[in-house]
Amino acid sequence: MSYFPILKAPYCTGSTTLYNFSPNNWELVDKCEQTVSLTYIKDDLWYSVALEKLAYQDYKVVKHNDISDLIPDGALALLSLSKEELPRTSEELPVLNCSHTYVPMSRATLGLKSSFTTTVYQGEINPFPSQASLLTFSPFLQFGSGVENYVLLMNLEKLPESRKVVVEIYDAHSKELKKIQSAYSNQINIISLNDMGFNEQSLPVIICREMASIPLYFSSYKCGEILSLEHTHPPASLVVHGNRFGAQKQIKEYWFAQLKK
Amino acid sequence: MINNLLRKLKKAPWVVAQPLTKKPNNPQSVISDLFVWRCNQDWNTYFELLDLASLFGDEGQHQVGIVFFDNNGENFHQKSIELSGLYRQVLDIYKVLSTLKQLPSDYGTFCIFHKKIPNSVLKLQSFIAERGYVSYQYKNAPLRSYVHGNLDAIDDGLALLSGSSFLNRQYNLQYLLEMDRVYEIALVNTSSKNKKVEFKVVDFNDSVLMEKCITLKPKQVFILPIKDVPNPGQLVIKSKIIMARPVVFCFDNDKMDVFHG
Repeated sequence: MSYFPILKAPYCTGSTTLYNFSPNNWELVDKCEQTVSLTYIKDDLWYSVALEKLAYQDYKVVKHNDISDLIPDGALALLSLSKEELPRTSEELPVLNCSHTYVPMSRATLGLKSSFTTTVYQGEINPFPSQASLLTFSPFLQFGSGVENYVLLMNLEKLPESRKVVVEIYDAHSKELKKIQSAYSNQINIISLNDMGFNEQSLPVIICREMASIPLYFSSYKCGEILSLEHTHPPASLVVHGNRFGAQKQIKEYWFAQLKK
Repeated sequence: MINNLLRKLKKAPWVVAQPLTKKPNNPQSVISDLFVWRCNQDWNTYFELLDLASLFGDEGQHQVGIVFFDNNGENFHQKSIELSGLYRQVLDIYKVLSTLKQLPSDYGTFCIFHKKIPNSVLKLQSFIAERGYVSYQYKNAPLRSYVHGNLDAIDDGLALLSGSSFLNRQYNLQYLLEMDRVYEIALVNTSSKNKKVEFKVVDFNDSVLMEKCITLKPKQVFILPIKDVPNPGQLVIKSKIIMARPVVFCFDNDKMDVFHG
């Protein structure tokens, strides 16, 4: 089963709501108390702390402020539910022993809260293979006075390392390279999409040849007065049935060849 | 091994001959989600038109067909739209519908069919699927709120593709309904049969806070308002829809946030 990160973004603090009940009534799950754990990286190891027990049919809201003293500054905070407590330290991300469902997947509410409002999405994260890559087209940029746009690249891998990778941002039509920025594994990488010359007709394309991520697009108006958040689908979602991952491979190969640094 | 067999037997009545998405009969079909549109003095809806064939490297001028359904699931408008290749193209639904003398309702569903199927997708025996990005503007806010498509609902012959369940299923929305918020829950019937749907808001002591039963016609969307819940609660949707995943509109006074369940 999945981990549930606590998000971060400009002008906001993260808050994640976990649910110890199944999203459906027909995939068999154990109706039992589960342990809420916090997992993070420190000294090149995964550390896990049991926060509390969560009764079946109950929920738990964990705010970043609740756990900020427990983790190193800037570390990715991962929450989880499991039937057993996680090992205090491990060299690989612990595999969670818990009930899971597929239709739909069990999710948590991942939220960002500013001084004025909140935005959320229903999400989860599973570890990506370290040799995977990212291709995302972003039609989410919003414009106007006081509007800022960011992409939050959220990565999780099994090994407790902070791999440095390069993220490239292009204009899809002109193929012009707009920005190169470093990002790190096991992190929510906040990348500004402001002041890059994109306008309402631009379709930004963001790639990382060395690391996969969940790309979350975040917009803020007047320092958090209004917020907007959504993620793009992986390219495999452009098709259904047949060889979807063949389609994903093809579209990635095409764009990685087209876009040159 | 016996345990596994028992689990499979218990699951069989829920999965045998009940696909989440049926494969279209025609291998050259294209597929779309049934997105929710809302247009009135408080609402407008936008759709991010991506030229999917161009993303797969197919050059040339491409088109999409867009088909609108009213709040009863009846088709009332359709048109073709030229795509802008690798430029961003935002479809303003109010403008598209403003050519009509009068709207039949102020909400409904719509679908988008790409007319060009990349050869590579045909070779992989896959189907192009539009599950893209809708944004809603509420009370002329300077930021729109985005939500992605989710279901492979309908093909370009307007055949609905979602399977039907033999037994009633529960979709337990893993989201905390809060006391100081107002919600509107949009649920679309993407199957070809009428579906009885029971919405129930319960608190975490199993007290029923609200109930509503409706019948949804194919392609119809129902919008359930939820307000003044006396305790934090959760939404349960009971129906023979296999994946009754709603779109949730959450209101914080004049601010609106939309996301998928």
